[in-house]
Amino acid sequence: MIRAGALLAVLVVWGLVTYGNRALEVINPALLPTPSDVAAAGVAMVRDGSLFVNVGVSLLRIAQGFGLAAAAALALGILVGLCPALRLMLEPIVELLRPIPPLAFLPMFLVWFGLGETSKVAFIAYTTFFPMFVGIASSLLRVDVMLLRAAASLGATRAALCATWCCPPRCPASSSRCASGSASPSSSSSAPSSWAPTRDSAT
Amino acid sequence: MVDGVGKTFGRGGGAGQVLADIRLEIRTGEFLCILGPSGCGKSTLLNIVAGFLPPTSGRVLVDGAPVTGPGAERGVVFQEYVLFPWLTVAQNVEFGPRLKGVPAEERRRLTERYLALVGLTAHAGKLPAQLSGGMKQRVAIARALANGPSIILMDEPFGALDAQTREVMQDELSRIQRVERQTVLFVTHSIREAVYLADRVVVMTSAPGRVKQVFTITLPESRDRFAPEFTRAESEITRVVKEEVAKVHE
Repeated sequence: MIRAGALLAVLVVWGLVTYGNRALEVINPALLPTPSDVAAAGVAMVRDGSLFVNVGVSLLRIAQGFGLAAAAALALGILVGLCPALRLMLEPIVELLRPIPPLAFLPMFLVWFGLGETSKVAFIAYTTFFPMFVGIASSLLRVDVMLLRAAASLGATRAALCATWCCPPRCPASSSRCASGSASPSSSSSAPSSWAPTRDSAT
Repeated sequence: MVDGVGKTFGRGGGAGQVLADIRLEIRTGEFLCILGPSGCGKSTLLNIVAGFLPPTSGRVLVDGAPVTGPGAERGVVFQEYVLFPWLTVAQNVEFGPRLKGVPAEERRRLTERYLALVGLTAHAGKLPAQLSGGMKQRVAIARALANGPSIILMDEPFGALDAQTREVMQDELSRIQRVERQTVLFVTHSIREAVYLADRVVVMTSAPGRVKQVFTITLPESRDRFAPEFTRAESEITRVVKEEVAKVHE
C-alpha cells in the first residue's frame, strides 16, 4: 500500500513537472516527455513488436555475460577460497579493480571490443564478476569449521568436502552468491543498450 | 572389533599445559565417562582423540592404528549438534554411508533402522532447523551410529539442552546403548549424568589435566536415579571432584 502510494507520488510529480514544462517551455518538451507520451510510445512498440525483439536481445546479452562471469567467478572463487596462497596473490588485484565503478571502464571496453555485441557482453561479464567472485570466495572462507569437523569425522576427505561444499546444485555457498550477482546485470546492461539498442543497428 | 585404546599425551608446552600424560584404555563396548572441573582439558582430550588437534606428546591408538586426523572409525557427537543444515534428517543420517559408497538400498535400510532407534522416523524429511534441540541431538546420534564407527566420542552432548530434555536424552542414550553396545567416550561435567550412563568414570584433576581416579560403576544396566546405590556412587564421586574444584578456587 505504502509502496504503491510512493510510486503513484512519483507519477504525479513527473506529470506536474512535465505538463508544467510543456506549458512554460523551460526545456525542449521532446527531451522531457510526459507520462502519456511514454505510455503511447510503449504501446506503439508493443504493437509493432520491436519492444519484444529488444527485450529479447537484452536478455540474451545478460544471459551470455552473466553466464561467462558466473563460470569464471565460480572457478576462481573456489580456487581462492580453498588456497590461501592464491588468495594472497589475487586479493590486492581484486581490491584494486573492484572499487572502480565499472562504467568508468566503458570507454576501454568500446576501444577493446568495438561497438558490437562483444563489448556489451564483456562489459556485463566484467560488472557481474566481482560480486559473485568475492561472495563465493568469502563464503568458502566462512564455512563453519565445526561442519568441516563433523564431515571429516564421518569419513569425508578433502576432495569430498570440496565436492559437497562447492558444487552449485547442493552448494550452500555458491548458489546464493550467484543469485546476488544476478541482481546487477540489469543495471549494467542498460548502459550498453543505450548506445546501440538492438543487434541489427549495432552490426 | 575395537582394540584397547592406549593414549599418552602431554599437551601444552611453554604457555600452559592442558593435559599431562593421560593414560586410558577403553574396552570394546564400554561406556567411559570423563568427568572433571571446567578447564581441566577434557574437551581438549576428546578433540585429540577425534583428530581435530594434534597431541604435543604421546599418541592415540584406535584398533592398534595411531590417529593422525579425523576419521570415519571415530564418530563424533558435538554439543552444538552440528547437523548439515541443507540436508534433511534422513540425508544427514546417511551422510557417512554415502561417502563410503554404501549402495542406495542398504543406505535406506540403515537410515530407517537408526531413525527408528532414536524415535525420529516421522521426521525423516524435515530439515534440522525445524527440529528442537533434543531432536537435533537424536539426529546427530543416529548419524554417528549409522556410520558404524569403532568408537563414538561425545563432547557434552546434552550440555545445551534444558534439564528435563537432558534427562529424557540420558534415558534414550541408555536405552540405545543397551541395543547397540557401542564403545563410547563421553565427556561431561555432570556427575549424575556420568553415574547414570557410564560403565566407568574417569575423574580428571584441574589444569593441567591428569587422571585422578577411575571409578567402575557396578549398578544394573537400567538405572534408577533415586536408588540408594546410585546416590552412594554419586556422592563418592562428588567428593573426589570437589577436591579438584576447590583447588581451582584456592
